[in-house]
Amino acid sequence: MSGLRSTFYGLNTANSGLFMAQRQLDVTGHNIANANVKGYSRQRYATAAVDPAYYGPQFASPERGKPGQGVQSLSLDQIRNVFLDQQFREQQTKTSYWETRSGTMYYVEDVFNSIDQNSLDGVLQSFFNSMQELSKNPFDEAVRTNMVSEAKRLTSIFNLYNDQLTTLMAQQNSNMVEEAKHTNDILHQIANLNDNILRFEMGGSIANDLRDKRNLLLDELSTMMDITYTNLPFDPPHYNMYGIEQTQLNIYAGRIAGDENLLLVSHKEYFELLIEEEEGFNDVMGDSELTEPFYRLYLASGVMLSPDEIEEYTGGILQSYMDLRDGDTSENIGIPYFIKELNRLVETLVTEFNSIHGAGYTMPYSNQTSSSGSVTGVDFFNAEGLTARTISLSEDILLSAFNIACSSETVTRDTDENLQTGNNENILALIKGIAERNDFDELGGSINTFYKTFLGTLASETSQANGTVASHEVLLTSIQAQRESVSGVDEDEEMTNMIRFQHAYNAAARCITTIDEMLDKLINSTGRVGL
Amino acid sequence: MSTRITSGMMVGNFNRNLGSANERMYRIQSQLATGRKNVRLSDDPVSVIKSLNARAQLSNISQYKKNLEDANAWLTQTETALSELNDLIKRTYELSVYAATDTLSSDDRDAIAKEINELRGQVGVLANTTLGDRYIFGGYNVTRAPFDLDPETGDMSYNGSSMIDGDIDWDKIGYEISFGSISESPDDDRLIAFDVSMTAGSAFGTEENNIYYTLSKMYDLLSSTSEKETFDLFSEVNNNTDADANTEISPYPQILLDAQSRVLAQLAETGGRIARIQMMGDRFANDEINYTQMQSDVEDLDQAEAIMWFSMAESVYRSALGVGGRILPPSLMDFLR
Repeated sequence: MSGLRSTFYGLNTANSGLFMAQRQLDVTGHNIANANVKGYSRQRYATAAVDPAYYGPQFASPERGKPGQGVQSLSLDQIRNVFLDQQFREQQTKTSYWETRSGTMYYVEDVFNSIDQNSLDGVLQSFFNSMQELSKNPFDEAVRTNMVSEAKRLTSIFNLYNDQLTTLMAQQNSNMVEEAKHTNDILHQIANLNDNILRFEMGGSIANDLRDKRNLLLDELSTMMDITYTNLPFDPPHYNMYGIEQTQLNIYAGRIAGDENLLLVSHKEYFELLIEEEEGFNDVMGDSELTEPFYRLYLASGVMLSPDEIEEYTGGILQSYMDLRDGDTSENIGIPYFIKELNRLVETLVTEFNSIHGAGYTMPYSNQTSSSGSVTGVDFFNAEGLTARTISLSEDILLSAFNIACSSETVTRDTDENLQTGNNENILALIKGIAERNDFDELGGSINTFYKTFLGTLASETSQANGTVASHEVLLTSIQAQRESVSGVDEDEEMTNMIRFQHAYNAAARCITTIDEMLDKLINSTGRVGL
Repeated sequence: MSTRITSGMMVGNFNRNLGSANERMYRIQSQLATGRKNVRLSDDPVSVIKSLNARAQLSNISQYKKNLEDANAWLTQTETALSELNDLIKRTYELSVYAATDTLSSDDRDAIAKEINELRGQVGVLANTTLGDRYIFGGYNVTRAPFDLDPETGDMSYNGSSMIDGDIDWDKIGYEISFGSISESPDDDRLIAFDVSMTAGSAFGTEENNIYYTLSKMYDLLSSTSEKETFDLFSEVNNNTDADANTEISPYPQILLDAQSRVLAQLAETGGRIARIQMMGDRFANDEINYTQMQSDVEDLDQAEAIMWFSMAESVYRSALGVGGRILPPSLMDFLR
């Protein structure tokens, strides 16, 4: 005797296939719809056969082999590789550091980019040449005036460079503040999503689209700063309605997970970066003219966001802006380094020039506003202006070009003695002691070699930043390709699936039709003998 | 295991390749447009330094060439003045020899005296020779005539001091004509460079040997003596070096020969300096070619090569576009009913 079977058993089985095909088609549609959405990972139903319905103990059944009850969905999964995510984010942190650096160095390079008559080397050279001309015509007012105007060009180009560099420095500062605010925004959003994901997943399904959003935010956070994150069970544990233990996402600054002091996000709590004004920080440059205050970033625990206070902390846009704004040593080259180097050049030039110039004698003159005899001890540059920002000519030189001290002796105008008007010994001393001197201790050589080294450093620093970006981008692209390979939606594949699911739907529908015909036969045509 | 390649990856890859092909073309395009090999400093940090070197050298050379021209003008003017002075002394010598013959009439002597008077005036003109607006024999005094002639005493003063009294601080002007040509004098801490002027004394004579004074004395002797005294004056004519120059004309040919050899020595030295300037000029012309070549090697673009690279970049770009055009449009949808 055959075992009992429900009359409508097959109808349900076929029906589950029909519904499953429908839902799978829905997911295919969802995948295709989101094919170009940033951060979207393709989704798949995890399906499994439904076991046969057993009535009573197996062994009691006289029948061997019962069909299952159709198909069921276990979960709607997203296809994603967490290991690749982590690799991607670590690489992203490095890449974005160098990208930011390379971008800013481009502008620093722009300040000095031209090598021609109007760049510092050209202007210095013209200034030196104007001294040579003056050495041949020390009594000639036009030649003296020419040297003064060349000197003015020199001071104004230092002023200009300083201006452009400090503007760039202030820009890094405000960029950093903006990005820090944006980072806080990201932290806030991640904490919110953590909460929403838990609420959603307590019901047993996976919050795929929310997780995609959160992953995208984690990607973005990793461009801002160096982060590590953990997915550990809640304490006390949380279970969803199927009894599965849930995990919470914690994010830490730096590479060491688990340090409470470095917490950025702990499930639905987030700890904003504190943007605090740095007292006296403007004086780092010896330049109190900067109007905007400089800021530093602190974690909520009071730890400063910097490699000095966080072990192994590297990378990210925030750090890049900070390094560019603060770096003033040859090991940590930022914009202040270039300003300091210029200041070093200015200080040496001004003090050495003045000390030789002061030993000479000016030429007596009289004009409408003033008159003066031949005096010694006159400054050429303003002795107070020892930085690229403040370098200027002395008031005496601005008053009259005759105050350039060319002579080694008192110059006279109206006696019948040696007037010394052609005495060029002091201007020769300036040529020898400034333009041609090649052993300035403070500059490690001549003014020219110092500027050459300066530009060389700038060029190789920029070139290094560009090169590092390029190689980091290659790595990032490769990881991104792997990620895309795992998670990306492929239209052709979805089309193939669509056809597969469509056929499955059709076949399930045909099953139902067949069972319907069977039932029709059974109900309407069976037992009608003789009717 | 074969990698899963999605259409997104193909599009991304295509975009990246197209981007890098574009970037290559952009680079070569800006190279061609500027004519410079390196458009930005960071393109080649080493050549930045080389280029700065070459530029500094070229700028120095062009300045030194200007200095050489000016030094040359000064020395050429000096040479002219000195050779005129030489001619003047030669003429005076002839006159002194002529005057030393005892057959001269007093009219002849007067004529000689007059000519010598003219000549000594000419000495003043030569001593105050100018180049443009500057006096070339005044040492550091270039703006006021350095020599004053006093026909009464027969003396000439230099920068306000009597030549005969001596005690004159001679100075001369130096130019820088090449890198490092300024140095400290071993005697004192004065700076010396390439001399364009000379101490006036070395050409015009110092103290009582100054040429104006010599001529003045000759003039005095010839114009003031009577006929009888004239006979005494010329009595021991034949190269009598012991004769008293204050009373006799006979030592003057020798004195003038000495003066001439002084001037000739200065002429030779001036000529030597001019030759050195010409030599330096030649060297700078050579250096200029070398450094221009060096600068050009570092900075200038090889047009032909750049155009070749451009064509290559362009063909890469075109094939990237071509391949993209063929792999991007088809999708499974095109083959489904």
